[in-house]
Amino acid sequence: MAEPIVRKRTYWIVYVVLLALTLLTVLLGYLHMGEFNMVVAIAIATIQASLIAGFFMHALYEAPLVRVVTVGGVIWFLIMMTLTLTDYHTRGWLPFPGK
Amino acid sequence: MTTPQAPPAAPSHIDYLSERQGIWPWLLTTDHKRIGLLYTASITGFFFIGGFFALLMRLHLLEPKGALFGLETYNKLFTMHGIIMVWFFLIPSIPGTLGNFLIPMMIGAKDLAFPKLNLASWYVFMTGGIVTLYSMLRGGVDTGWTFYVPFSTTYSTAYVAGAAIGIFIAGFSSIMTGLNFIVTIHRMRAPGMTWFRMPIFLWSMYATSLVLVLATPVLAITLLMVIFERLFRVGIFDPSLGGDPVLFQHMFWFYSHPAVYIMILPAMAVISEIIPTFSRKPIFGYTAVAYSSLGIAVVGFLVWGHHMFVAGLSVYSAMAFSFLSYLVAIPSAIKVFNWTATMVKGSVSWDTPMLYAIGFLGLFTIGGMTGLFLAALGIDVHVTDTYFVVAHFHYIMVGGAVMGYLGGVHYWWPKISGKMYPEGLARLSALIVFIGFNLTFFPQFILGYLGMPRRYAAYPDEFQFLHVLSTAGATILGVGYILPLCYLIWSWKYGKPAGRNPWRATGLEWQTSSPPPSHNFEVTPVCTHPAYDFEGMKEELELA
Repeated sequence: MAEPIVRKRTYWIVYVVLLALTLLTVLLGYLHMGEFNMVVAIAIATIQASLIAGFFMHALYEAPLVRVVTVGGVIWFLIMMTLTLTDYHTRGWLPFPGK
Repeated sequence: MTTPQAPPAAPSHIDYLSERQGIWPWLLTTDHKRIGLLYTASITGFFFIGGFFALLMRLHLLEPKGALFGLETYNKLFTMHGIIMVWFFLIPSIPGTLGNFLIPMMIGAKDLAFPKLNLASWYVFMTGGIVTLYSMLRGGVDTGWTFYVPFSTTYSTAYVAGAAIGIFIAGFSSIMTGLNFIVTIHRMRAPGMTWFRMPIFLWSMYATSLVLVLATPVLAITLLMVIFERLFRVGIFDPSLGGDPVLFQHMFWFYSHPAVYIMILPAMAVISEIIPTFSRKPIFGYTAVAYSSLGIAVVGFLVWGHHMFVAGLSVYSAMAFSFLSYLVAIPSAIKVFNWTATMVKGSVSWDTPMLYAIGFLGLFTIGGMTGLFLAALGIDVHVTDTYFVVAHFHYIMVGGAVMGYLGGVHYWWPKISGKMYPEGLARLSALIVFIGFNLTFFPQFILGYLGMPRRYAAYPDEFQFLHVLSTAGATILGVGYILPLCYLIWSWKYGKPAGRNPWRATGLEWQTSSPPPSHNFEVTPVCTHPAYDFEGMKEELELA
C-alpha cells in the first residue's frame, strides 16, 4: 500500500496541539479538583495518544482493517483495566476485613 | 488400518530438504518449512530439558521426606520445569513448528507474508532461551513459573531478573509469529480460498495469533516491572513502596490465562484436521467450530481472575470472574461435541494420529471439566494451590496440547519428511503415552482433593502410595515420549516413501509432493472445494 501523503503543516498543527495539551495538564495539576484531577489528566492523555496514533502513526490514513486492529488494541486495554478495576472498586463493600 | 499408498510423485523441482545443504543455508533460510524444522529441533531440546526437571521432581517425591534434594533445590526444579515447558515448549510448540510449516501450504501460498521476520522470530526465541538457560546454570530461579511478588521482587536470592529477561525476549518472538500468521491468512490466500473454505486449522491458528499479539505485550511489561522493582526498588507491587502485590497477579494472569489458549487452540487446530480425515467425513458444524476458536480467544481474556480467588480479590469481582469462567466452557464444548459428531457414522480408522486425537478428546474433556470445578468459588477455595490444580492444568497442557502436538507431528510427518514411520511402533507409543499420562496425573487429582499442596518437597506418609503411582506413570510417560523421537529420526532415513497424500486428505498441503518443493507448489493452486469435501474430491483422492 502506498504511503499516505500528509502535509507538513498538519504535523506541525498536531505538534502544537500536543504541546498545548501538555501545558494544560500541568496547569490543571495546580487546581484542586479532588478525584477529578486524575480523570481530567487521563482524559487529556487519551486525547494526546489518539492524536499521535491517528496522525503520527498514520492510523487515520490506513486501510479499514488496520484501523480495526488499532481499535482492537484499545478495546483489549480497556478490558484489562475494567476487569481489574472491578476488583479494586468493590473491595470493602462487604463488612469483613479484606473483602 | 493403513490407507492405501500411492507411488511417490516424481517432483520436477528439488524439495526443500535437498535444495541447499550445509549449516548456513539452514541458519539463514527464509523458507517457512525449514524455519518450522529449526523450531522443531529447538523445542524438542527444551522439552527434554523441562522433562528432565520433572523426572527429578517425581523421583524426589518417591519418599515422604523427599529422596534427593534440599528444599531450595526442589523449588528451583519446579520453577525451571514450569518456565521451560510453558515459554520454551508449549507456547511455541505447534505455532512455531506445524504452524510455520503448514499455514502457507494450506492457503496455497509460497511462504509467510514476512519470511525474514519469521527467521528473526526464531533467533529471538533462541536468544531468550539461551538467556533463561544461562540464568538456570548460574544458580536457577525459585519463584515458581508465576514469578509472584513480593517473593520475586524482594525476597528471592535467585536469578530472577535473568530468567525474566529471557522470557521477555522470547515474548517478542511470539508477537512476530502471531503478526506474521495474521497478515498471511488475511492477504495470501490462493484464488478460491475464501474464509469459509479454509481448513479449521487456519481458523484456530488465526485465533491463536490474535491472542499472541494481544496478550504477550502485557507479560512483557509485567516482567519488566518486576525487574525494575527488583533492581531499582521502583514502587509498583511492593506496598512499602506504594505498590500493590495483587496488581501483579492481575497483569500476569491477563497474559497467562489466555496463554493457556495459546497452547490449546493450536492443538484443537490439529485435532480438527485429523478427525475428519480419519473419519472420512467433513467436520460436523464447520461454522460453529470455526467461530468457537474466535470465541475461545475472546472470552479467554475475560476469565483471569479465577486464578486469584484466594489472593485478596474482592468477592464481587470474584463472582464476575467465576461467571465468565463458566462461559469459556461453551466454545470448548462446541468443539468437543462437533468432533465427536464428526466421527458418528464415519468410516473411522485407527491410525496413529487418530489415536492421539481420541486421546486428546478424553483428556481435554477431563481437563476442561475439572476447570469448571476451579471456576466454582466454593470448590476453588478448597483446592487452590493443591495438586488438584496441578493435575487439572496438566490434563489441558500435556493431555491436550502435547497429545495434539504429537498427533500433528505424526499426521504431517509424511509431508514434512517424505517418509512413513513404523505404524505399529507409533501406535504402541501412543498407547504408552496415554497410559503413562493418566497414571502420572490422575492420582494428583486425588492428592489435591485430599489436601496435598503443590510445590511442597515433603508430604505426610499417607500420600506416599499416590505419589509413587504418579512417579511410576512419569517414567512410563518418559518412555512414551522418547520412542517417537527415536522412530521418527529413524524413519527420516529409512522410512518408506510416503507419497503425496498417504492419508487421502483434502487440504491443499496434500496436493504437492512430499517433501514439498521450496516454493511449495509448482503452480499456484486454485481452491475449488469447501474444506473436507471428501465426497466432491473422491476421484482426486482415489488417484492420490
